[in-house]
Amino acid sequence: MSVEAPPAARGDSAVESGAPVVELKDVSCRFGKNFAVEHASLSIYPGEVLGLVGDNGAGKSTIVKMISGYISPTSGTIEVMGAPVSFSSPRQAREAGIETVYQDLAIVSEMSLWRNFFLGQELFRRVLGIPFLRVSEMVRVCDAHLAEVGLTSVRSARQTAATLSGGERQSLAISRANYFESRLLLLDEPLAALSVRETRRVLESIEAVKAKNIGVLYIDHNMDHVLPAADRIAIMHRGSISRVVHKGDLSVDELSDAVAASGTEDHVG
Amino acid sequence: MPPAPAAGAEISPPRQSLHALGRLGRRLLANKEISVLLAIVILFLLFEFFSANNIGFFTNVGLMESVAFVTSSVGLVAVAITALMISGEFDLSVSGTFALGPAVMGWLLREWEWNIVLCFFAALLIVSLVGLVNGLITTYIGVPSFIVTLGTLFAVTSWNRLILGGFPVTLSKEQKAGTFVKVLGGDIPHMPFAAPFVWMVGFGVLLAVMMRRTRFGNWSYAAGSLGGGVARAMGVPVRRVKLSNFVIAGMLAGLAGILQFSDFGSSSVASGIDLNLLAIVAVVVGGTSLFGAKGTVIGSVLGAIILGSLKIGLVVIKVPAEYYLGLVGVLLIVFAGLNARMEVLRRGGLKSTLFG
Ligand SMILES: Nc1ncnc2c1ncn2[C@@H]1O[C@H](COP(=O)(O)OP(=O)(O)O)[C@@H](O)[C@H]1O
Ligand SMILES: [Mg+2]
Repeated sequence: MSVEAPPAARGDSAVESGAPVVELKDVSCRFGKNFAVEHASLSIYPGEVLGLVGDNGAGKSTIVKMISGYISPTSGTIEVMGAPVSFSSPRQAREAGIETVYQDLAIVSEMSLWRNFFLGQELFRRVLGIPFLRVSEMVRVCDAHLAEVGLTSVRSARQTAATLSGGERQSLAISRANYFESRLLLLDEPLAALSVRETRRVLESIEAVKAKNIGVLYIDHNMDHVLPAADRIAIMHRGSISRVVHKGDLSVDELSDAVAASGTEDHVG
Repeated sequence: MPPAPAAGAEISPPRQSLHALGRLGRRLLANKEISVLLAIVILFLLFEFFSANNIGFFTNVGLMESVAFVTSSVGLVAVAITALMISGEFDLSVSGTFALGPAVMGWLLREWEWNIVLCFFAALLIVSLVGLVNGLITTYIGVPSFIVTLGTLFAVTSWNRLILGGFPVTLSKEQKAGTFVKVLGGDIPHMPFAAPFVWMVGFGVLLAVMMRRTRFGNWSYAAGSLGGGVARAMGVPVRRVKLSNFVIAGMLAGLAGILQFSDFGSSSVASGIDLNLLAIVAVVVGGTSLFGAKGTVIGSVLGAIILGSLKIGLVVIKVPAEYYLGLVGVLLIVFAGLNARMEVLRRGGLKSTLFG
């Protein structure tokens, strides 16, 4: 596969090889007096994995939630396929082809696996105008996908999600995001609770998603995971994106140092 | 649990069938609706065999009519709040709306002499609006529904007193004989229950199907989990879902009051007292979680049948009526405890018998 280096997201390059799937322009998000994200700009291109790294509390999840419509930016614009959007709900973002695996909002434990899989995008058939669930079809699809992501401990899509381990929940959320046709996939620390085997599978699935020309925003603490998976890496610190580097530019150690360094600068300043 | 036999170990046929039986028993007990149903059967047998002067219980049509009468009101209010509680919210004002429904209907009949059908729908509209107000304040302003509906409970109670002004509203003989009132609250020939019981069961089944088999029901369960965060993240319009469930609660609670009014022929300020709390008992006994996301509507109907049988059954076995509320309290705690213990057994799983 020929990896065409996406254009540097420094904003000043006039000629872009393709339009970004999503572009954040000078976006800020404030909670009360605190800025979780401050003047952040970044773009994600089709078929590209953009890694986003940074300390806890740097604002990574907030970036994800703004793109996915879960919260609205306080200022700045978000463009999807070149058109400014202001999602008032995650529903609108999903309709625009943005699928998200949230760090903290992935699965409803009380509900069965198939209900989780299709939550918000249920297959239904209208009878007298009422949307009735197409249960057996959803169970079938979900069962097939569970096998695909290798949830071997799962016996049936009808069991409740409470029976899943943290890693299995994450795997379910990822397989769900992959199932629905999307143009942008947001993954917020998807590997946090995964086993080695699950991790490998997820990293493989990210490759597969990329091959479908879908843009991926991939957040992870572990540089060893980010570096092989990402084409470019944005380093975030205290709400701002301090650097964007290309895959080949830095080694794992240099990357870790870069993240740490952006921290020390701030402590000194 | 004993350790599982090693792979390939032979299990003798009787032990195998014993195992299967044990598994079946656990699965049945793990199903909340089945355990409530079992409790009903036990209560019915107890009251039957210990009835004073051998008047019987479930073999006695008159007594079953009384059980049905009590169950209809508690049951419909319980059904009314079940979907709401599953979606993570409370409605304490339902005892007020229960009395408001007939108050508005009766007042319009008496003062403005509207057509009775029109009065009925006007009353339904008003009680639905109470639900809407509860929902709007809860979802848009963010006041916990427990507080909001406690407030509207007082407001509605006050309104009931203003409307009724000390005089109960009544239906005249002619009005009671009319088809419309008969459909709402009339007796059913050859059956040990009146129309309100059928309405209660009907709405129970309707909402049970709605909750388990429609997209709206799916969204309601999701909205009840952890403040609806995951649901919203997955694109569920959580506010709209909760709002709809508030309106359903107000409407059905008001309808329950009107049905009792149609059956009874009168309704006063005393109508509906304690019904909010009794309905919550029925809902909890039926297996619905106070924290949302878990429960079934059929469970609530069964819970209401337990309350109805207990109220009448205690009289039948000559336990002074003063003990009723005390036993309701015990029942509530016992069932909540059982549910908590069985949750472990079931490892978090909950399935509806009828619509799983
Ligand atoms: N809903 C919220 N309300 C208030 N503060 C928040 C909220 N969400 C995040 N924050 C704050 O914003 C900052 C960034 O958080 P987050 O985006 O979750 O960081 P990260 O994902 O990089 O660890 C943190 O200081 C956090 O406390
Ligand atoms: Mg985070």
